Order: sequence, then structure tokens, then C-alpha cells
Amino acid sequence: MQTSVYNYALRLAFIIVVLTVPVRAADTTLLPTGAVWKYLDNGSNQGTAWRASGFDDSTWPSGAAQLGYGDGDEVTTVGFGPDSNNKFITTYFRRAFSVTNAAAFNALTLRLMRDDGAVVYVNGVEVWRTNMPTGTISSATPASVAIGGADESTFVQTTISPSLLVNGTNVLAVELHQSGGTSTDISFDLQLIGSDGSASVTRGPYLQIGTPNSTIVRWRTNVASDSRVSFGATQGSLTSVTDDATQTTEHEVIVTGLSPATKYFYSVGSTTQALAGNDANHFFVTSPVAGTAVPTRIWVLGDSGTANANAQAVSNAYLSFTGSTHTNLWLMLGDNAYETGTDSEFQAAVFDMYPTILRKSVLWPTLGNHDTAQSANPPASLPYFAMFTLPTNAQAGGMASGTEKYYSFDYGNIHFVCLDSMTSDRSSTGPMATWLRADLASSTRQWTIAFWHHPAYSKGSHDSDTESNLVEMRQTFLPILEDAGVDLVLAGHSHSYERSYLIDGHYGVSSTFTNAMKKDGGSGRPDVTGAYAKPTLGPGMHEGAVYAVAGSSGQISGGLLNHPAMFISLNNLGSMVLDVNGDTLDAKFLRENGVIADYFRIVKGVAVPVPPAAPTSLVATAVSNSRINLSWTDNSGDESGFRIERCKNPNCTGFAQIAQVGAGVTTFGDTTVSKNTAYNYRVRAFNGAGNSAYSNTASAKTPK
Amino acid sequence: MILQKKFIWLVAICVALVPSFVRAHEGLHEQIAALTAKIKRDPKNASLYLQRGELHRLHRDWMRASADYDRAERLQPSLQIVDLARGKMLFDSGRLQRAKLTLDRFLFRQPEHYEGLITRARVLAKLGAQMDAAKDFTQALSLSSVPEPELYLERANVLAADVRQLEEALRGLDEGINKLGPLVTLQLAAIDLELRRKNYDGALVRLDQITAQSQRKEAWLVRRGEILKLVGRDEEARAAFNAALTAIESLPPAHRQSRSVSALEVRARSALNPRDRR
Repeated sequence: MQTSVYNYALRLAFIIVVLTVPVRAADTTLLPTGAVWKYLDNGSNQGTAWRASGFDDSTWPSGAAQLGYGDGDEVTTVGFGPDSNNKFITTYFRRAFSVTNAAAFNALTLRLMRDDGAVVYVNGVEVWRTNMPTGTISSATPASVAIGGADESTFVQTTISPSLLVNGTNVLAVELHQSGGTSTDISFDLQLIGSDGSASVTRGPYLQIGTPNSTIVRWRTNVASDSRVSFGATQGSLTSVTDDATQTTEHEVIVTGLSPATKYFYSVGSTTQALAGNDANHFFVTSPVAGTAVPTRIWVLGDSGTANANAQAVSNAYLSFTGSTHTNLWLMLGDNAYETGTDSEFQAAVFDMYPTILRKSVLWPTLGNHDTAQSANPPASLPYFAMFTLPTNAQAGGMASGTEKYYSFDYGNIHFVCLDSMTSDRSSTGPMATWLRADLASSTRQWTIAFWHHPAYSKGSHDSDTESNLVEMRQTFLPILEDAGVDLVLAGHSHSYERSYLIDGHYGVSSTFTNAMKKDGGSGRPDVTGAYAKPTLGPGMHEGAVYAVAGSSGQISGGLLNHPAMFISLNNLGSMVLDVNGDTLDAKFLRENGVIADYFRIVKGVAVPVPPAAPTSLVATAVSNSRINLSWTDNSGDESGFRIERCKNPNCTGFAQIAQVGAGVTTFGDTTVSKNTAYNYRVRAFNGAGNSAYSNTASAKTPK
Repeated sequence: MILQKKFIWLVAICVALVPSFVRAHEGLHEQIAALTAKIKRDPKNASLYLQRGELHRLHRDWMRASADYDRAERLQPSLQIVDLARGKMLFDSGRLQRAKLTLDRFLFRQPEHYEGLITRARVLAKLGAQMDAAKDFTQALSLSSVPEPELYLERANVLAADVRQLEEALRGLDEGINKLGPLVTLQLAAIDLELRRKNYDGALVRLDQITAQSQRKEAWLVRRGEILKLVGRDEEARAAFNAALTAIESLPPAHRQSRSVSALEVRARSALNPRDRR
């Protein structure tokens, strides 16, 4: 019980810290969330007088936000009248606040939790109408649309002019409207932030499309300005600049002319002011020259978008694990922001969750079903597309896809392929499959790592036997990838960790998986059954791949966790850490508590021992009544020897080994035979990898 | 005492917030159950019915989806998006004519709705109204600042179903190429159309553009040889096939063993007479 209460308290602390919009040095909170408000919940029509700053609200009751009813999360419960089937449509709120120097502000940010609709007034003047119809609003006017789900507790935001502020007392007045008399809940809270005129960074900076010679730096500011990235190889000496004159709050600057595999310190801001950076924590490292093998650390997060203490714990565990080792790049496997991938959800789940790694390491995400609000046809205005800059034109290697939904890029000797399992055509003749074939056919990199959201194999919270996205990804794309020698395939969607053996050729449902599909049925752990070995140094076609579901970076959801292709299946929070170094790839599943719960290694260019070729042309000749001579053809150059088996009497089947001879030996004399007896013989070669197939069966009968 | 009260209060809020953590991203059944519980508490909330209807649609439970859309519409007649959801459900369930009528109604009220236009274009294409489908695709493309290559391909496919529209289909692909760059997906589709138009030189020019983008050339050289052989330019064809074989032979052994490269090699060798092979 104590543990449970403690966890809840931790979560609340997290919510307060993370889910509150950070107020920067240049900002002043004029009215915080959770403030005490005057309210009127008697169903009366207050007309327009109540909006004025001089209105006497002394008889109104007061209470702390969140105010409302019906959700159970209110701090102050307001009334809705005597008839629950005909609730009051409008509830009024007022709050006075003091401003000492109104001229100091040149922008106000108003954030509002409103379920369902609201109109906001500052000193009697309407400044914002949200989810309300146009025209005259009365106390009987319902909200335009009923708010449901996560939107009920989501803050919506707008920027308003500070010109309405006066020195001294100001008044915010808000009328909150139900969508209808039978709706069960309303919610209200508000935050007002004043900006002093200088820009401040409210998102990022974060890095996109890293190449050997360029990097895109993005950030968001509270007020529009032009953009400048200053950079240099020495901290404190940022001697180069790249500017963009466009006035914007969404800054995106491509820094070019860089040297490969080089560390650059940087700052972001405007041409008149640096807002962040020029310190030890703001740097990026350019990609190595394409094709070169360099030690590369990759962090992999799946379904991390819960913006909660789980995600924070997974992040903390990784930051602690990696320490001073630079993360060269990181992958997000989709469902990066719950529930519906709104901008504010991304702010909480990505930008406020991983600020340190965002500014140092290039992020490569893929689309999950929650990032598109479950839509298979999301609009181009989808927040995901707006906030991420991904290669459509092979800017970082690979073949141009023309879309940010699926793309490829190179990092050193690794070719990464990002597919879209949510919104793109998944047929074998569709554009994504056509592009993938061309992309892989063009790649000359040593390693191929593919990632997307819906896993090809899973028995976690999703079932790859029955769910169409998963089935289609497996049936369409795995044959293409395996034919191109893919090494590792990463996915999320199931909130678990499931990791396969080194396998090849499994495109059906789980019941069709056979041992023959295991290229290596061991653990892949170097200290246990040995690393997974792929003979070819470059892409080794159908030499096996490891498939991992790593969708537990924000929550765990259990499931049967018994897919036969999986070596291990865990219902634990965590993330994956990949280290690629030359011909070796080491992978780990790092739990939220810092424990490494799984690990494996793939080594390329290692001759994989195979059993020798079978001997042929076995001949048995009875040379006396006590000896039969055998001879055969050796078809193998790597056998350790031959095993000779015999059974007695014609048509016998019960063979037993009678002798073993050394490598290269092709004859044997059996002197343990009896007279006037028929014998059958067969031979097979063997080595460290096992036995060959048998030779033909040869027969002989000793004379009387 | 105050602290203790505060702590209890904190815990109470946290308990209330826990469901928002645990409900994220369950399977469809769980999401439907969560919405049903929500609807029970808020039975007049139209958007909840719409959301659940969409989940039923994804679950291919057409009856329940339809019932939820109807309820959402009854509760809030101004919720026009219900018609788009219903149109998608009718399309998914194969009731094309009714899907078209529903989407017509929706687009009459929201004529520039991107998803609505694309959905109706797909319905029209299935109904055989290729030109109308192309028109909707064109309008959807005009509404997107970053159009998807898939839409250009879909438009070209519906147009190319009518041999008289091949040129228009090709023009549409070129529009995409101009906008998005010489994407292999668009260029390959354009090559197919050029061949249908018997504009072999046009096809070869496009193929050369793809080849130039690719670090490995063997697949495109084989295709080049096949086009040249098709039009009787045997000498050039031989050169292309031999160049493809040279490219294949220069690959590491593991590459050559792949099914796709092996198939290419077979295509190239079978297209050449033994005496023509280098």
C-alpha cells in the first residue's frame, strides 16, 4: 500500500514538473494554473456587465482551479443545477490580477483548459473564443462540439495582445459553456504568461537529418524572430554563423559546410541575441564519411509517448548507462506522443522529456498509430510532419522516397530504413515496397537496420497473427528486406520487449514457424551460446536477422509473450541500446531500473561452421567370410572424419555405428562380420558443426 | 495534519489521473471498452460516439460503427465529420454507391476537405468513374503543400485505366516529379506509361535518370536491355545486358546469391544468345 501511494505521489510530482509549460527567464507568470477564481454556477444569464473589470463579484463563491464537475479530478466542484438531464449551460469565472508595468510586455500567452467551450475577456474586451460559435453568445449558447477523451484535460493555447493590460488591477473573465444540458462534465483552468519582448526558447533546440557535412537545427521561440545558429569546433568560440531572415517562432536552420565526424558546439537565437547554447551541453557530432566503420551508439525508444514517470525512468536509466559516451543517433519507433499526437502532447512526451539528448544527437522517428490519432490518411498538417524534418530526397544517403513517412539514411557503414506501417500502402506493388526494393538494391553499406511501428512478430499487447498492419508488414516487407540481407528489424506497438533468434524466411502466422527458420537458435550472447554469426561482411542475403519489439519505453501491457520466433519476451519497461563497431553489433535491452535484461551480438564476416558434404558412392565388398571392405567418395574438404554404420540382414533399418575413421580416409575393413550373413552399410562425414547427410546404403553378404 | 491532508489530496488526484496513463494505446477492444465506460458517464457526448464508431470501423464491425455514427449525428446534427466517417465505413464495407452519396453530402458542405476528397476519389475509382476520381485526387493534391507521391500514383492509375488518358496520366506523374524530384516510384510508373504509349526513348531517358541516382546499376541495366530488345534495338540491348552482367559479376558473392540479383542474372542471360555473352 505504501509503495503504491508513493508511486502515485511520484507521478503527481512528475506531472507538476513536466506537464506545466516551462516559463523562461524572459517570461512572467501573471496568473498560474491552480489559481483561486470567483465563479457563478447558478444558471443565471449575466448578460455582458459581468465581463467588465469593475463588476462587483463579491457575492460570487470562490475556489481553486481546476474547477468543474463530473470528471473526479476537480479541486473545486461547481454546481450544475437541480436537473442532471438539463444542466446549466454556462458557468462564469472571474479573476483579478495585478500588473506593475504593463508596458514591459509585448506578448501574452493564454493557456486554457476548457471542457467544452469558452469565451475569454481581459478587462471587459473579448480576446479569445474557443469551441464556440460565431455571433452573439448568451448563457443558453452551447459549445460547438462536445469535448471528450484527453482533450478534456488538455490546455489549448493562444497568443493575445498585451495592449489591454493596465498598470494595477486587471481582470480576466471567462464564460464556460457546456455542449448540452445532459453532458456530464465541465473542466476549467487557465494560465496567463507575459513575455517581456525578448524571445525565449520554448522547444529544443533539437537536431535533424545529420549528414557528414550538414545538420539541421530546429527550435521554437515564444515570439517570432529571425534565426541564427552560431557554431564552432571550440566551446566559447563559435566563429561561424548560419542565418535565416524569416520571422518565425518555428526555427529551422540547415548548417552546411561541416567536416565529417567532427564535434561542433553551437548556440541558437536571432541575429541580435543568442537564446540557448554556447556551452558544454550544446553540441553535435557530424556523421562519419559514408561507408566508413566507426564505433556508433544508437538509442532506441518505442511507444515512449506517455509523458509520465515510466518514460522518465527509462530515459534516466539510459542517460546513466551511457554516461559520457556520445549517442550518435536515436530512433523513436512510433507512438511517440499519446493519445493523439497533438503538438502539446509532443511537447510533453518528447521535447520536455528528452531535452539533453535532443540537443546533442540526431533523432530519427517513425509514425505510430497514436501519432496520427489512428488515422490512416492524416493531413499534411499533422503535428508530427510539422515538427520533424525527415529526408524525402536522400539528403543523408539512400534513395529518395519523396515522403517523410518512409525514408532511409546512412550513418557510417550502417544503412537505416524507416518504413511507415500506419498510413502508407503496404501492398507488394505499392510505392513503399517499390521504393524499398530500389533503395536496398542501391545500398552498399555493411549493416542494414530497419525500423517501423507495427511489429512483424509479436504476442504482446498486439498479435502479429491477427492484426492486419502487422501481417501485411511481415508478408510484404520481410521478404524484400531479407533478400537484401537485413540484420536487425526494430518495432514497437506492443508494450513489451520481445527479441527473436537469428531467423530467416518466416512470413506466415506463428504456428508456421519452424526450427529450420532459425539460422541460429542460440541466445546470441557471446558468453553463453556465442554471438550470432553472419558469414558475409556486407549485406548477407538470407543469413538471418534479429527482430526486436521494443515498445515498452513508456508503459507495459503484457500479453501472452509466447511467439515461437522469440528467444526472449519480457513485460518490462526499458529501451534498447545498440553499439555498432566494424563487423560487430551489440544490442542490449536496458530496463528502467538500470538492469540489462537481455543482450546479444551479431558478428559479420565470420565463417559460420557448417556440416561437411555427404560422402557418396559407398561400395561394400565381402572379401572373405570374416571381412567386408568398404570404400566411398569424400566430397568434403572440411570433415573431421567419417562415421560408419551397419545393420545386419537384408532390409534391415536398425543401423548402429561400428567405427569412426579420420579425415580424408575413404576405405574401411569390417572384420567383425559373421560368415554367411548379409550386411547393410552407410557412412557420413562429421565436423564441429555436426554430421553430414548419409551416403547411399551399400550391401554385402559374407560367404559360408 | 495539514501535510497529511495535502498528501491525501495529492493521492486522490493521482488516483484520478492514473487511468490516463494506463489507457494509452491498448488494443481496439480495450479502447472501445474505455470509450464505452466514458459514454456511460457522458451519454450525450456526440464526439465519444464518433470516436467509438471509428474504432468499430477499424474493427470492421460495421453495424456497431453505423449505430454510433447515427447516435453522434442525432446528438449533434452540426457534427459534419460524422458523414466522412460513415463514408469511410461504407467504403470499407464495399457499399460503394452509398459511400459516394454520403461523401457527396459531406463534401458539399466541406468542399476542400483533404481526407474527404481522397476517400471519395477512391470510392469513385472503384465505381469506375475514373475521371471524377482523378478530379478529386487533383483537388486533394492542390490542397496539400507537401503532397504524397502515393496520391500522384493513384491518380495516374485511375487515369491510365482509360487508354485515351495515358498522356494525362503521364502529365500528372511529371507534375509530381517536378514537385517532389525524380522519385523512383514515380519514374517507374511513368516508364510503364511511356511503354504503353510506345514512347521508348522517353522511357529510356527516365530509366537513365533512375540509374544515375543509384549506386548499383544492375537492375536498371537489365530493364534497359529489355526495353531495347522489345523495340528491336538488339545491339544496344546486348550492350545493356552485358553491362548488367558485368555489374552483377563485380558484386560480392553474397550479393550475387540474393534472390533478386539471381533473378536479374537469369533475365540478362536468357535475353542474350550464348554467342553474345562476353
